[in-house]
Amino acid sequence: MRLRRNPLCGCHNGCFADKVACTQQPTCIENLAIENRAMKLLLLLVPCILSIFPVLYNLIEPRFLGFPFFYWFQLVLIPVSSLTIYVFHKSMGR
Amino acid sequence: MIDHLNWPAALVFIGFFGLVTVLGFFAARWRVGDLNDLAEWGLGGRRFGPVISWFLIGGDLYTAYTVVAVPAVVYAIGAYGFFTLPYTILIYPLLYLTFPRLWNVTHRKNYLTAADYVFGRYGHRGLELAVAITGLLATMPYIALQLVGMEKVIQALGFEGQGWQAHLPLTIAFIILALYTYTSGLRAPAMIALVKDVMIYIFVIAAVIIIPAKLGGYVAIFDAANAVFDKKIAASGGKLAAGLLLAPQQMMPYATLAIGSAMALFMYPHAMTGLLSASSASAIRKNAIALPAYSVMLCFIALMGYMAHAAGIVVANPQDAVPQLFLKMFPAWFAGFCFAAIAIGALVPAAVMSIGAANTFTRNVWKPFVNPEITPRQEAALAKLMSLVVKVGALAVILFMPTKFALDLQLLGGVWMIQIFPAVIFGLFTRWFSGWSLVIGWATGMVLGTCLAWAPAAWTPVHKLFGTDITVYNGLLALAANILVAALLAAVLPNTAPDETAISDYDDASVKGIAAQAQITGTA
Repeated sequence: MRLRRNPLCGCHNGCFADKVACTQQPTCIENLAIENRAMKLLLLLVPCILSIFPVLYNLIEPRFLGFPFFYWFQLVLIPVSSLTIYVFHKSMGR
Repeated sequence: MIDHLNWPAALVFIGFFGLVTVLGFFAARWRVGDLNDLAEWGLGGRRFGPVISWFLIGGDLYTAYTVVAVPAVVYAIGAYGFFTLPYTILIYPLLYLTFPRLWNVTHRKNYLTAADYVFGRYGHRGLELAVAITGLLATMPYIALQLVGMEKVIQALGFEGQGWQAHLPLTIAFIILALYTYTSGLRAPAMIALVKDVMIYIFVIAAVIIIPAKLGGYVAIFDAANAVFDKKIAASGGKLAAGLLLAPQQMMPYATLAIGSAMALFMYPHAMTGLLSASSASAIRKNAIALPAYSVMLCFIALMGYMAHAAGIVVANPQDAVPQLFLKMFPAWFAGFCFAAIAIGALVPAAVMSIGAANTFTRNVWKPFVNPEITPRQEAALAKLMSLVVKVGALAVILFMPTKFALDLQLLGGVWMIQIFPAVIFGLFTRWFSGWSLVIGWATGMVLGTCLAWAPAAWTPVHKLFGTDITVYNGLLALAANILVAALLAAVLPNTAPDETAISDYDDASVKGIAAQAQITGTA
């Protein structure tokens, strides 16, 4: 059973401690790390999710440097996705 | 035969081709290793650091065929050809999350191919064979298509021939390629990739600056393409779906084709070979961050389809659009440089593909089923021989079969390739599936995927879902059936086979080392 989230520390341990006391408990640190990883994975997937919904960017306007939105949006998404992988990479401590 | 040859272009072309030929043979002495060992010949001794890997993998994935075919689709129907952009956006997070794990386990257990790993993980010869055969089937037409890309630029140089002479330059180029692949192994394409990629970047940057300047900027280019598509649609009576934006019925195929192609890409033996030759899992991660540079380049190459419209190029076969664009826009010597870049761009993937196929055949077909007693030296000798056989086969496809056939087979190859995704990628994270369940799932996907593609008139890449208007890429439909069958059977037939790999084999050595150290010093 998943316990209610403690708003003070953000963990699901049912510890109800304040942030400092909670994060000193080993299980709590582990839980936070898993949640953190899930959040980071989500970050990694944002450009992917945007790219597979062409309905979001199948537009001519606004143009940029003469490129219709459909083209420059996808073109910009490439370096953005590279950047999110880089941020993920660094945040995993590599 | 050579009466209409464009001499400046042809001389530059031959010059660069000569240069890479010398490099290809010289590569045998690069980072010297015992080339009678399969890991040395077929994976370059796994010694390519992040930079060499970047060139090799980039040169391997963004092939000559891509450079010719993607702008051809854009030239023919517009926005739909840009599905390669979401596709390249999807592949790198996938690469980052999965392949470092695969690299770690293959490195520790000395696996050379995907099928090696799958056998180690599931202990199932049938599954190993299924993975190997799928790779071999899908690679042959892909190599053949590299030749198509090469032949397009040789034709654009003004070479004409009748009968067997028509394919003479291609045959010579391919024999040279076969010989240096035989002697140098993966080192040859790795070294040539350095030259090829620099050349492709030069021509793309030049094209992106010079062509729009001559044609009046990007606004004019897009407008010209739009006008051409409007005319085409009017001529077809409104039936043709083409234009600067996707038609509503193109959206689902666009997205599902991107997803499916992304899942298939790294299952191909040549992608696997390129990645497994990296020197560390970290080199793969760095490449997942740096390889998108090639995707930006691909986007501009795709735009050349529109540039061709703006330049007023009208060709019957859309694949001739880009070569004709270069001839019209660039001085002859630089057009020759671009053509050389494309032709050399065919050599790198063709070499890696033949090596990947040869490794797979030797390790996963010959060794387990024909001669289990094979020595490492015989293994390397057989793989070298197979790399020749594979290339002769691809050349035969081009010489004796219509190009359309290779093209259809390549489309079908993508559908087949995704069917080993569950065995290879799911296996990195869970061992819940069993060997038999994956084999039967694979067979279901292969049969369904092939049947779906079989349409009365031509092979179709997409299919309508249960009579609705939702059109989905065949590969994904077949994959869904594959996973469903595999999951149901795995619930009935639990996995009891031995597993050669341990959980820790999938993690980085350094991380494990640090954790172990922390435990010893009591800081964990």
